[in-house]
Amino acid sequence: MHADSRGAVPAPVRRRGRALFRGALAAAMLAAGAVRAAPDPTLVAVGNDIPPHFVRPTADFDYVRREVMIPMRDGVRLYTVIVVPKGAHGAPILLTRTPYDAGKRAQRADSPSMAATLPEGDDVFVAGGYIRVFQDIRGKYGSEGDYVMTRPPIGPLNPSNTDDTTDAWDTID
Amino acid sequence: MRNVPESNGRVGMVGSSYEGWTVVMALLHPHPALKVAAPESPMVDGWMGDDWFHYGAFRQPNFDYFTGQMTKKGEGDEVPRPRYDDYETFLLAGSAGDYAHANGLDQLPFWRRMAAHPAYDAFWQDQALDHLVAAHPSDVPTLWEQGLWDQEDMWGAVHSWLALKAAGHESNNVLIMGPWRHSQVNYEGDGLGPLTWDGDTAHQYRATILRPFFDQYLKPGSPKADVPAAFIYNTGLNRWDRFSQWPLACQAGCAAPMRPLYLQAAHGLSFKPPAAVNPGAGAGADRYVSDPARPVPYLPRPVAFSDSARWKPWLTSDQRSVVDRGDVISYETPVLTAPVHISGEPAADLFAATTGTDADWVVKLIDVYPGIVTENQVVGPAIGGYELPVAMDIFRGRYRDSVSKPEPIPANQVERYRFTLPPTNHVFLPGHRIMVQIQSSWFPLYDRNPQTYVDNIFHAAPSDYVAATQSIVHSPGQASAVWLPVAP
Repeated sequence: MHADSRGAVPAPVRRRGRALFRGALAAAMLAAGAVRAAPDPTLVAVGNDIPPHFVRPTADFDYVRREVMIPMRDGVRLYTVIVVPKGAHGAPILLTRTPYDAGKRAQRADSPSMAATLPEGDDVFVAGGYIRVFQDIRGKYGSEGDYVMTRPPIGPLNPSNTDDTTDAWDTID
Repeated sequence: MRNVPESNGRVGMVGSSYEGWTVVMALLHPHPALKVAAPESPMVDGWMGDDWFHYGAFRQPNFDYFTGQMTKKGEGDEVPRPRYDDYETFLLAGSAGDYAHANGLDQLPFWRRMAAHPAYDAFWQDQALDHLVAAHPSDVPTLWEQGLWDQEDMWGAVHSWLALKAAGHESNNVLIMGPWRHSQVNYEGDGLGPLTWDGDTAHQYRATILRPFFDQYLKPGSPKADVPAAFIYNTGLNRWDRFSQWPLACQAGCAAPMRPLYLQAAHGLSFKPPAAVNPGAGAGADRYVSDPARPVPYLPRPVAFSDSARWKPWLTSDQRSVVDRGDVISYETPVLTAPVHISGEPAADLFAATTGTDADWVVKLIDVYPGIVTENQVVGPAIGGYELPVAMDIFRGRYRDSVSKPEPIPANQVERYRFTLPPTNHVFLPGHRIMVQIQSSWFPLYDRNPQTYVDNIFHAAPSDYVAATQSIVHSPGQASAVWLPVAP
């Protein structure tokens, strides 16, 4: 605390002509420290102001959001956001595979409301109790692998063993 | 699926544009749990009319998309601009290839592949999904949706549906076209540009067609959705139409044949063929000079691709902005005394000559509103005389005989150019006129045709860009027309 307090003293106070004043101030602070056993955390920072884990209360949310990496047949894993209405059971899934950031596509607004969180056009599906899934296609945003613009189907233009037909299959499987 | 224990094991896919492309790709060999799909304005054929080109004419806003998508794994930046007005920026740059080179796009492998394939060769044919879905049809019930003024993917949904229909797979495939811009299906659909619809048409579709259709296949026990073969907004009568068969008219196999609306002398337009004219210089044809140094703007200048408020509705923009230019030629009918309902794909059929050796042909089918609008629908009274585009497209003349093997145009020789225009379901009302406008550039949305034949227009040199005189012929033997799918 003492070492830090020097830095907090305004620069003019540290000039030669103010040495006496500085000494008096330091003595006063030392005296204050001596009467206190431990710093009062409501007065001063102790350690990092950013906690190692912050848990956002979601008790009032009408949905649960999960993020998973789904492995494809070649081992490449695709970032997938799953938004489930709270208490859902036996609900259908509505899937969109995107090159435009699945995380953002599933978060129009930061809101406890699933309808506000999902894109506007999903309104009728939210009302219908659907589970909503967005996935980054391979190579973009949170997904692994190489990106190929509108990757052609496996064949003369795509000699690999995956395309967006197999990636859709492996995602649903 | 194993990540979602709350599910019933049934999946539907939905998505617009590129996300629509991923839906179509899933349909080529669908997982058995995929029970229903809705590709919305899917990118299907990037050469014919989705995003990259329209009939071989390159769309220059793609460069910003390329750097946005392919310079970073996440979101990249757009190309920086030396001027606000993209008309100036692209005119200063030269060819599209020069612009790409100057802005570092040669580093992008996809641009290099595209630039090496300006024609409709195997590179484009082998990834054209309208061909592939017809060759590998699925049994998945599918809603093929697009907007009637879809400024980005005007080709994909309707041509995939038509290809599946032609291959005998109409029963599980439905066509949906709303009065929308690109992807508007997922937003509010109360209107577009100056047009006002009968309520939120996008929500009407989602609530009465999309959701019941998905429920039917995803929620066992749901009632059967009441969905026709084609559900298309009527942009003249301002209401949804339900069709058991569509199009209502076409070249063959429809309830009615196409009807040619012929270009006439004195800038007339008529269902009657043009009359013979006395021989003489200039008879039976109209001329204009197309100068690549001052191409026709697609929107009034200044125009910035980044101005999304103007880009989104641009296909509904008032064509009076160019009708008086000397390099835009127009033809119009007398004031209609009876409604004309068209429902299908109009087709341009031009007989034209050029003093150059290559040329672009832009053909626009336009509904000209009365000078004073009194109808209490679709548009307000403030836009009397509005020239509303109903269907417009551009065709690169080198592809007139083969889209895969371009050929120079023989100078000063009349050649025939035929291409379909985007689909429509429109009624030209009494008191309106039908107009056809023709021009040879649409800049800077489309790259300029140098009008001198070169192997690859992406790499045209400044000296290749020359002014040319275009002749549009309307004589009995060479009767230029726009063929209309007139409802029986």
